[in-house]
Amino acid sequence: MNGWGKRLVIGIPLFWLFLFFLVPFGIVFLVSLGSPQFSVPPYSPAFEWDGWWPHFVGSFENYIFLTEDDLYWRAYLGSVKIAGGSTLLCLLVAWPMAWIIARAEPYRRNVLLMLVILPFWTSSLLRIYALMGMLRQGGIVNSVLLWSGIIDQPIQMMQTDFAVYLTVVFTYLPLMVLPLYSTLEKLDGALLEASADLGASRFATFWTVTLPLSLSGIIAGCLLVFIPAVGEFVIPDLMGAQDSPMIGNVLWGEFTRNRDWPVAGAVAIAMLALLVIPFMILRSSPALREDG
Amino acid sequence: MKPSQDGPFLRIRNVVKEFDGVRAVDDLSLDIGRKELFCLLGGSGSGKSTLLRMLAGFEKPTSGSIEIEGRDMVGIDPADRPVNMMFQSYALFPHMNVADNVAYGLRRMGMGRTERDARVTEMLRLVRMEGFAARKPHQMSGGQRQRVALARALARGPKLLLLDEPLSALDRKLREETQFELMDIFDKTGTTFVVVTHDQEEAMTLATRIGVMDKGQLVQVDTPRRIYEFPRNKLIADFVGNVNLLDATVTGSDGALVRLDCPAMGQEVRAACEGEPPAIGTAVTLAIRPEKITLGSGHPAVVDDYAYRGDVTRYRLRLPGGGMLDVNRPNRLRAGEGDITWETPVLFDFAPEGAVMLRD
Repeated sequence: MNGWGKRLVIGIPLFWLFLFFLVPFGIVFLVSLGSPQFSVPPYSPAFEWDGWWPHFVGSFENYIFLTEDDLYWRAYLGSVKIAGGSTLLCLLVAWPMAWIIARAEPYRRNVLLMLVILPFWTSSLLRIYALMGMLRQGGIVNSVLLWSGIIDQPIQMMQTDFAVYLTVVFTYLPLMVLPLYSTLEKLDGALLEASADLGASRFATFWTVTLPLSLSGIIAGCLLVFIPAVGEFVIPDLMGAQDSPMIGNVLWGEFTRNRDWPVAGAVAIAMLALLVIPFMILRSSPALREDG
Repeated sequence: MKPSQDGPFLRIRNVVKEFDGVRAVDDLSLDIGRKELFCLLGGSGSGKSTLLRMLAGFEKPTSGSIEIEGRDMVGIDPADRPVNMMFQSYALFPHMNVADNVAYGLRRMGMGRTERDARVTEMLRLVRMEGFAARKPHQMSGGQRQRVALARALARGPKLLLLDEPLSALDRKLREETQFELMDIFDKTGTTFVVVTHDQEEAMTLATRIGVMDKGQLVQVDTPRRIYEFPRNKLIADFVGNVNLLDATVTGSDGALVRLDCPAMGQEVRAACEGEPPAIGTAVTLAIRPEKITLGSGHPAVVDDYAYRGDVTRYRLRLPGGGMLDVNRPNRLRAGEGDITWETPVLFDFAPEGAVMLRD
């Protein structure tokens, strides 16, 4: 391939990212520096033009405001708590699944992988509604429990953190299973035999060989689940309690109900920072580097 | 049971291993003595690796028993056997450095730090890898990894060391050097070694005894010399080294030798025979190794083809009675080629003691 071909192959996605990620990011950042006003668009610009020279008239007030109102802090912490908790739950459920699939007969692996991916073929909204149908007061779960006599009062499951955790885990599980599967599938069975041969119990082999060697899959899976889960908007809106919104719901509220675009912009930028920083820390950790 | 010191060190009795009804190891019995370097030699699918894996404990025999010093090993976990294995792929832990790999088995024993460090240093000195303790497996060559794998397998001081194709991943030159090193280490440790290999040269160099395996059974167990010079059948003769196999009929005996009518040679020949010679008229096979035949006098033949190999030249002779005979002639002089070439009539001969009669 000649130089032009290479540049084209790299250039097109770069241009795409520039146009649809970097430029909107810049716009949002500029919006976040302004203040709301009744106009179209509904905010004051961050720069004014003085002839050919732009001069800065915006401020970082909105960011300071985020630290002052505890609504935002609570939403951030709540988001991190729910995303982190469901990432951990996903990992606990997905690791054994990925292990079983990776150790299954080759012809069975594809079937099992298909079963993991299958829910992705249905709209996530439909799946959430299906879960709502199961969890609500008169839903399937409560009906079965009442009928079997285990409970005599329906359990309140909707509009609780439990429902949010359950739905997030259910929705994002394949994103955890697949990277774990791909690292576990590459794990050489002779290493496990060598460990047993050298006197290790199954438990010791797991802690000293299997788990460390699946670390890159664990990190990839955790990032794939944690990042979208932090910004999750639909699940907490439909399943969660109204008094503990996630950051996505706050963002939505600022944009629509309050029509405060600059604060919404600041929330969005702060959320991005919140996601990028842990990612950078993980990136620089030796475990992710193959040459370690 | 009290370990008996006088019985064989390793005692394999009537071991059968079936996979989905197919017998990988078929009613195999074998005794191996203390401090033996025993080679299991066989082609792929001969069951030699399955037998090794049963000794390590990774596979459970379908029936039969495996005893080490009189103690039955069947049903004992690999972790609890006085056995360690060097894997064909070496199976070094990629996330640990050399020292941690070697120390792995010692940690599992609960050995203290000082003692452990001393043992790791000792093992790395044994395999001449002292300077590599901090390296990761991927930072080393195949030969270096092989040494580390050996050090790791020896670290726990096993009574029995299993080696699965220990040298097959190395290139030829390195393999030959490593063979001698391996024997040196064997002498130093005094451990019993069982080596699985498909490489007859490797088996001949290393082993005190060789067991040739075919279709899950041991077809001959003997010293390397006897396996080569007195193979029990055509299969073994053909598998170990090069050999000319010619159909013949017994016509009589001549002391320790047997007289054979060999139609391919066009005349009666004499050959060595193990045990009582068969009855006159029995169909047998005459086996002669190419290096045991000389050119210059004796029986007539015509050169069909030849190949210069440096140390020897291999001639393929066309015999008057049909059939081919391979002859190796050492190149003693740096003579120019050309005295013997295609279609040259030659005379060949062999000492009767150099040829051997095979019953099947």
